[in-house]
Amino acid sequence: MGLLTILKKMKQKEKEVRLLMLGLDNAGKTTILKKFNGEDIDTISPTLGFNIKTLEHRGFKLNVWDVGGQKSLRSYWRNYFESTDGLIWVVDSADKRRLQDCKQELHSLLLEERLAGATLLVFANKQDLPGSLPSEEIRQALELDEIKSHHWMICGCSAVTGDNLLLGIDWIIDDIASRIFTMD
Amino acid sequence: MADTNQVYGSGDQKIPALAEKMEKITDRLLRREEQRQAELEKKRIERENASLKQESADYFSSAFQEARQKIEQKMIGVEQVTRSKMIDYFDEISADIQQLQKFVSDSAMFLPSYDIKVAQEAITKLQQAVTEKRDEKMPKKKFTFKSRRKDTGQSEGTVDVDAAKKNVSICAHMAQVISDTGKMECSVSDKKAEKVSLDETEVNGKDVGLFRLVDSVVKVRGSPSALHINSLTNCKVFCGPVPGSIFVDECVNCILVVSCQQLRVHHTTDTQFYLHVTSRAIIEDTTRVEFAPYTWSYVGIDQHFSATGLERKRNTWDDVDDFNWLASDKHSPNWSLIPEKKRVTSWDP
Ligand SMILES: Nc1nc2c(ncn2[C@@H]2O[C@H](COP(=O)(O)OP(=O)(O)OP(=O)(O)O)[C@@H](O)[C@H]2O)c(=O)[nH]1
Ligand SMILES: [Mg+2]
Repeated sequence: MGLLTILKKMKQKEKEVRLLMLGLDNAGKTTILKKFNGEDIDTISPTLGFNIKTLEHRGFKLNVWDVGGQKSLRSYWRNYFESTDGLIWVVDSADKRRLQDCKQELHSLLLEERLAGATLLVFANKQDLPGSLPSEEIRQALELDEIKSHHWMICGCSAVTGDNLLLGIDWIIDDIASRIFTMD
Repeated sequence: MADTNQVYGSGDQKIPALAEKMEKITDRLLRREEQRQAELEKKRIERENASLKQESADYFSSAFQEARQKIEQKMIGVEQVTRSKMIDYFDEISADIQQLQKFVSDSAMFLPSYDIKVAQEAITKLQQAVTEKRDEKMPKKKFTFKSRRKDTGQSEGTVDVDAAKKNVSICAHMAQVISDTGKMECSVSDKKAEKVSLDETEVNGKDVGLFRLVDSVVKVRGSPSALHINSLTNCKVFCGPVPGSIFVDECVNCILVVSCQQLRVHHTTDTQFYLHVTSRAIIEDTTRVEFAPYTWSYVGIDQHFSATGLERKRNTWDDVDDFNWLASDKHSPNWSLIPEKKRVTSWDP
């Protein structure tokens, strides 16, 4: 039995999924995580390291890694790539000034060998703000249609109202499940 | 009050005034219960965080010990190595040490500085031991062919945590690109000695930018969704409640009177903050900044506070995280509180 098969079998048993949540600082990663977990979101500080949460959802055990996105922390992102099943890229849809920066960071991540098999979910966050760009425009600005190497989807959402968080998470789980956990 | 006893003692009387009092008390009890729950939850989260930190520290020290032992084993193994394999063997050990060094540098941010220091010292010792061993096993001959020896010099330099940290901040600084302000719906830029006012119709719900201002005063009577303050010198900025973040970057000698959910300060010096913030503010590559509580007010500010939902009662203005200061037992030299007597209590309207 090859290593891959063994890994597959192991994961299958526990139905464990590892999700890595990245994005520029202030995108709303920690807020999404806490909102999804039903925690208070009014007192969240910028992340100076990382948060890990293990959540049970639809019979899956989700290990969600939320790593700080400030510029000086981005070189540490690669420490968290290993065995990532799904990458959640969070965008601050109201921050038009840094969309270019956001695009570059995303595309360079997708070149990473260790993320090669991962499913990509892009959350166009902060849709509740009147000044935010709709997900369609984010999709263009980030040139998502260029991505051929990963399964991806973009989903407009709001961590403050909770809108569409479930939709996105369910999609990424389904996509990962169809790859990793064989139906038997 | 004399009649409080009565309220407790007469549960089934239906006198309206009493019922009202009962309600108030139940209310109060409920609120207390809620507060208690919130407090418990907070404690739980704090505990979780603490154990997370402990976990990463534990993981680090066991991984470090393991790698270190492997290297020490290899050093003992030198005695069995034949002359022809010696160079490669030492190269391998040097590479292992370099990798360990990288692991320590990468972990620097998540670990107490003491742990880092200990690890760093252990690596330095290892390097010395390897150098000595190599000199012993491969004494430098006068006439070796230079080309035969691979360059292993790199592993001999010691890398300290400070250098690693410096690297981080240099990266941040170099990559600091101030892109075009044209993309922002609302911004004020490139002004000298001016007074600018923005009102709610211009800023509410939008990301607002203030860029490259000198000797100027900006008053924002409203609630931007976020405020980006870049490259200001000798300026004063006043802003109403921001439900999201305020970014401050490359400001010198400014007074910023602002309220927000998060404050993110980078590359800033000699600046005073009169601050309302509902989470821990962070500073990075920043020196001589001072903090005091928010003291600005304008007509309509109450309404703005309630519209944004920014908690007015919670203000952690004096709880600042310095990204460049890892020690938790000593206060960062980069920020301080403005003594009460020196605080400005009222500003021009
Ligand atoms: N209006 C609105 N604000 C949001 C939303 N999500 C997050 N925010 C705000 O954006 C700010 C940043 O949120 P965080 O969750 O700390 O962002 P982050 O991506 O974790 O940032 P780093 O930890 O620095 O990487 C906070 O003030 C949040 O309240 C959203 O959907 N809508
Ligand atoms: Mg965060």
